Amino acid sequence: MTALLFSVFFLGLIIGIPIAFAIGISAVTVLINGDVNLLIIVQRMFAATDSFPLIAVPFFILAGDLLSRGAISHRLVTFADSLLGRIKGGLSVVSVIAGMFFAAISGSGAATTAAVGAPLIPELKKRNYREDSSIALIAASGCIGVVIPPSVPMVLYAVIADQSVTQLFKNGFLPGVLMGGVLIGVSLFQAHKYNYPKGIMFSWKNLWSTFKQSVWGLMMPLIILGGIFSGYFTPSEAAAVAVVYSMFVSLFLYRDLTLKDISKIMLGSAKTSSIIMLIIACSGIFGWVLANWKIPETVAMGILSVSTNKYIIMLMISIIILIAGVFMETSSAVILLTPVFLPLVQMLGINLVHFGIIFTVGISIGMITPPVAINLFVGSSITGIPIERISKAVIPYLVGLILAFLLYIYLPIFVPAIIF
Amino acid sequence: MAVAKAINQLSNLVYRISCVIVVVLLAAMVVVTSLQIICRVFFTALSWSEELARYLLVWSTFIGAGCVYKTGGHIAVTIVRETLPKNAQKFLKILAHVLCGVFFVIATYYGFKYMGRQGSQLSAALRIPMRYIYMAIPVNSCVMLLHTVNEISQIINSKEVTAQ
Repeated sequence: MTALLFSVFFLGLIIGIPIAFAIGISAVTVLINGDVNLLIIVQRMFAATDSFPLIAVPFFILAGDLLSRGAISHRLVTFADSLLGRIKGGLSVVSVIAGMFFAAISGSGAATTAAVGAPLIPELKKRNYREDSSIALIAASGCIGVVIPPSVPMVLYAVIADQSVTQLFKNGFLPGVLMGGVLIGVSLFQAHKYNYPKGIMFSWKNLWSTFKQSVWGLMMPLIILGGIFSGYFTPSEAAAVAVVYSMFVSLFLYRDLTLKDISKIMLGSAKTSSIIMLIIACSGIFGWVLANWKIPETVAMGILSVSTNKYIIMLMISIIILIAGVFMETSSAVILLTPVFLPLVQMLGINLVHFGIIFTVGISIGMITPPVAINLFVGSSITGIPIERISKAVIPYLVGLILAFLLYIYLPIFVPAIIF
Repeated sequence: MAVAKAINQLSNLVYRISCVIVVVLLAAMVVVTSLQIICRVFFTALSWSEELARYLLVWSTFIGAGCVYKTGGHIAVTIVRETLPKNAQKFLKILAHVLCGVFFVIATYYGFKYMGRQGSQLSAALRIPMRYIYMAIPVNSCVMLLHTVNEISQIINSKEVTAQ
């Protein structure tokens, strides 16, 4: 049954069936073959989508889309620039810091890339930064969007692995800062190599005025994350607050979006989240098939027969995650691979929250590895630079992020109390 | 040809209606969830808001899936297909749509059957018959089937045009 399931799935993918339906069709084929009553498919599709934590998915997508279209992102970037612009290659540092900050508001990598890229690119051009390298850096910083909370892939993982969304969110900061630090390091090195200029003189007055202009945006992470971690909101409720807040700011305070714009943005976000949610629905059937025929246990036994060393197996898993990220879109990879890996990870005695973070970090890197590289596509559509050139320019940042990923995986060897 | 045209028009009409509904459902989800917070903080906690938000999510998922299907937005791996010659591409496109169509037929048939079996149960908080929630799956599978048939007829007709 394992062979049938995966061969139908991959065959379906190769002939170009959308991933959600390839999942559904392969699972149904196995069900028909195993003589199972097909009523189960409706029941599983319903049960998979009927979940309150998953409401955070459309909401965080919508909040991210609203913010990346509106003036909030412009003002945040200006503020970061007045804070750090003085350094040689300061705008590169601003790209990363703005990306990290945006990550604390939005839950997706594409929204983060768009939000930071749109206001920064004209400025970078004006100051003679290399355009391909700059947009590559912004795309790489976009990966942090799903690592620093809130995060759509973490919500998906938490629901599938039955872990607490809040706990995953709490543990996202460390790797997020780690990734940001590595990217800043690489970008400063690049700044010296290409001899980037220094930015505007630092002045308290300038800092204060840009701070005042961006204060509504700066307050957002406090409200969203503060609300979640204090236990005041559930993550889904916080996501709704993020939507209402960004609508309110855009409509009444900054007045940069009209109701018509908002309904257009809402349609786009509803479609994006339906794509993810439909994959969830279909993998409800898939997950049932996996569990019924004990397929993840078979996979686990196969891997354990190669090695039983926890760290070697983690290396194998992380390579699989990175490869999956090359060919698959972030959310689909999380939805599909989590149930496959879970029994193996449990057998190894790895903390499931820690594994969720590892998974998120690893798969986030997939957003800048072509052919399936959403952040590079967003970067290319903002700048008009062909994707091949950005792909080449992203390599140093990619290497940096992979190093940060490996560092985070093996950190528990040195610092046992990494998960809290 | 007349049938193909009618299917195309129907498919476009259903798409436009679905787009409006899905935006309304998303807005309703935001309102219900916000209301849940407001009522819990200032008044007493609502018993039905979470359930309603979940059911709105179920409906918006499947209606939205139909919208995305119409615009060809579902994530697919097309790199392999694109390396093949034009005719083979066309064949694989039709094959992919046919296989999806089979899936939609199964989901529609068993969806209605499931509604008949379990539909009279009442939901926990809102006390509405569950058939109205389950209905999202067969109804929208039907919609996607319509879009699939339309896509296939469009591909076949475009072949005739190039042949002339």
